[in-house]
Amino acid sequence: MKKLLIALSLVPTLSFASIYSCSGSGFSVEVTGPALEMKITGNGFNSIAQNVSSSSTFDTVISGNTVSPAATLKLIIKDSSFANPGDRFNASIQVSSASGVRDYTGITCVRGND
Amino acid sequence: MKKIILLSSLLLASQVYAENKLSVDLTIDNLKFQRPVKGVGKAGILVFKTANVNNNGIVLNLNNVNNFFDSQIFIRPTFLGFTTQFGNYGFTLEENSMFNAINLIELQNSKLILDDNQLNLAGENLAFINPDMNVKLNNFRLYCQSVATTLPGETAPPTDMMKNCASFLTLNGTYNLANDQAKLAYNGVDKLTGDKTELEATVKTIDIRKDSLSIKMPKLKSISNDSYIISASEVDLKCKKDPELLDLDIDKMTKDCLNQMKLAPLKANLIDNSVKTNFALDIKDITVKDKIIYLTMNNGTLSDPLSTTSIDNMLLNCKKGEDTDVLELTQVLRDCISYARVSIDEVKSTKPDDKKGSSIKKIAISSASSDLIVQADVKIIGFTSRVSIYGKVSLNEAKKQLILTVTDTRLPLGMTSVNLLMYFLKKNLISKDVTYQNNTITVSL
Repeated sequence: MKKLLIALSLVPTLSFASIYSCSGSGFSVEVTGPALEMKITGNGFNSIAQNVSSSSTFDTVISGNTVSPAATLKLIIKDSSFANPGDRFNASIQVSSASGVRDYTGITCVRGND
Repeated sequence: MKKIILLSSLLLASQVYAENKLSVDLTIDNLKFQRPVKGVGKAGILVFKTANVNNNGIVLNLNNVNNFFDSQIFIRPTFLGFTTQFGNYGFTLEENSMFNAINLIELQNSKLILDDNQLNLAGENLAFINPDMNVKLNNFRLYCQSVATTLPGETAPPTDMMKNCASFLTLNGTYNLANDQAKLAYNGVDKLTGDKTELEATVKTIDIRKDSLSIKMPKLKSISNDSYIISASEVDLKCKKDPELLDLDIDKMTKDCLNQMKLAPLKANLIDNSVKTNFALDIKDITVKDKIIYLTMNNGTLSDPLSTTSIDNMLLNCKKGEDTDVLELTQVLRDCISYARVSIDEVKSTKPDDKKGSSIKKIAISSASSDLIVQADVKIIGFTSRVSIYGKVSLNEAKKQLILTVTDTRLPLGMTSVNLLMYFLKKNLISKDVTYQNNTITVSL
């Protein structure tokens, strides 16, 4: 039983290694690894994005698709440095869908442990 | 639709040879590309507000402040160049690039986002003009979402956006307002037959999904060869799509749609100016399923210079072959001869000099393997009587004739005379398209 409890206590650590935790403008976004995953809630979304990918050039951009509502989300983090856990960055979210393209600014992202 | 997606790709010539990673976010004020007469030389202008491009790791973020980067386009057989007051940039084109098929493109006030996950192109005006066809769109948005491939996290790259659009595409009018409508115009000439087609429509939405296609068009007008006009309002169509179809094959989609579809109530007009006919239809429902077409019509009025025939409350079930073109009457009749059930409350005919006209009520028609049974209530000498006609029906497709051969009848007062029936029909069912010989009735289509 003790071993089982230890094993269970490790599961959240292994599964939900936080990369970025973002909020603002009605959104809450969690980006986790090691298999890149983006969970987004607020402004009509309560989804885990599909086809999540990231690129880091001048900004770090993490994008993915949601099914319901059908949209493409881009989390654009003004993270141009090698961030340390706990560092905070300004960010924006672009929501692109058949209804239009909308940019939400005023979002803050905190670098996670991973 | 396919042309529009092609155009989106063409807006970024680099995409033509991009191998892996491409993302684009462009705000275009004005793009005009016109192929020079000799195929090389100056080819138009590009005026844009912002351009953010990541092409295989080469990142370009431009804000075109004071229009410093307004560009003149020039083209060579394998190169597309842009010259600005501050320098030049350009892209190599492959010899078989789709650019070679483009004659003229115009795009005004547009925003394009293209990456691994999406194509989102919105614009105030788009014109795609070639010698044999042109497409124009106003106030439109086209959104395609990538679909996950079999490997987790892997998507079809933007270079394969056709594949993505074939499984998730929306075309609507949300360029400016959430609930606005796009305007679509198409003109084309069939290279083989020379047939001309014009189409004008307002588009509320066209949605393509993995296994379905739906279209909502508040107004639709199509003109074939300047004479055959179909106009309809409130077109609301839902159809089945082959989930395995991985390309925007419009012909295949149309065929599949016509074999499993549902059309909501609509009013339509079919005008044939060559023979001066007008068919006004108030349709309750058209469904095609399991190789049967089901048509429910509230009423229809067919007018020509000599007469007007109105049909009230018609139910029709007909066989529909997979390849049958529902707009080709002879093909539809060929199927209906093999299996059909029709009921009509009333058919009424009037002529300019006979406003009272004639009427036939409670018509029931059934055909199976060319055997035909027609029953109807007919007024004879002031009395309404049930008449039954039995016979054979065939179609002469070469002459475009429907041939009915009457073999037996059930007339009022126990009469069974085919000759009497033919006499009655000759007197009452007069049309330039109908001829009688002995017990055979020939209807020209």
